[in-house]
Amino acid sequence: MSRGTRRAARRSADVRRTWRALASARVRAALGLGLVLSVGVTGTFAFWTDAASVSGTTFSSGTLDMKLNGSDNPTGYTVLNITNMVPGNSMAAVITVSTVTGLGAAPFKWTASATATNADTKNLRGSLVVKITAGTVSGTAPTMTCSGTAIAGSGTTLNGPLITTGRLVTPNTPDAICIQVTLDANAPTTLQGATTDVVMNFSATSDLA
Amino acid sequence: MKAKRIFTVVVAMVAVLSMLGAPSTAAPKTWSKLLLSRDGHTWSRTLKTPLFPKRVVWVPGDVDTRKFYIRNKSGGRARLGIVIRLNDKSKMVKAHQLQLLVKVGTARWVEVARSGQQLVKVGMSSGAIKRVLVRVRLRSTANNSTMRKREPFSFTVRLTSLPKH
Repeated sequence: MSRGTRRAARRSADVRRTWRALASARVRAALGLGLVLSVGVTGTFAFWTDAASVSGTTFSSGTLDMKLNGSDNPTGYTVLNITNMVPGNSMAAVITVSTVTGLGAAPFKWTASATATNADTKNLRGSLVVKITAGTVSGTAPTMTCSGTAIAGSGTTLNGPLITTGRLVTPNTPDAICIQVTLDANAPTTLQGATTDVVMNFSATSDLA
Repeated sequence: MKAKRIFTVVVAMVAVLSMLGAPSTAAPKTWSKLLLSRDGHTWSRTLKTPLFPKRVVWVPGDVDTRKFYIRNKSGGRARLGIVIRLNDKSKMVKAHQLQLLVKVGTARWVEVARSGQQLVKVGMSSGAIKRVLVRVRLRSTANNSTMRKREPFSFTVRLTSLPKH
């Protein structure tokens, strides 16, 4: 027998041994067990995930923008000005409090106060009597008046609170007050030639409580 | 005889290989494992309406709480995770002027501090339903800088299967 023939015969014998081994009951059992284990293992490590999005949620804050007679910060408001005022004279004017319109405009409540100077130390401000109503102006200078009764809790001087209880303004419903300023009929003569400058401050809050 | 053995081995191997590949290929073919609802009765993949109505104007001190429901339809135990997504362009969250809180089931309220924050991670049994409360508060201390701000946010809700016991 040649060397090549012997090698071929050995290889053939190896293959037969391998197949005999594979055919044995033990090996087949092991293969079966492996199959079962494989299934088990895939079941254990098979993770799935599913996700969904809850979107479309937008938080939008509002705008609080108070307007006085349509302006943000009116200066040079001279409607209530009067010169040569004598006791019993009065001036009156309407101030409209409003807000911007459109989406995002928040309703608000507003209050007001006033400060009056006393540069000449004559204390004219102490003799100016204020009446605030929700009415309209009638008459002409120097005897202008506000119609209606005074708003409950409203101030009566020009150097202190004017409106202390918040009044509601919404984008569709502005608020208007009439301010009447009268020089007290009993004002002392020392007030002759006296002057006072008045600044009214309006505050708004989104707290509607 | 020899061919029969080879055939048996090949079939066994094919069976094993097919089992290994089965979960990843078959899963997407099934229906949603995760469903959402606004009322706990009508379920869908997404919520049809925003949690908070768009036309509501927020002012300092306002607080509102909305809810939605999550249902585990996977047929097995799963882990629920909720992640918040927001860009905080308004800086209101960072500045503690806008407060976002989330509460899942009976768990405690979790406050949102940043985008991508994992708000909850809880187990859900098969078929379980979790109620999610979302509370938004524009703090009463918020100043005028918070006017005219918009802050869109969303939640990514994820269910991940858990091993069977």
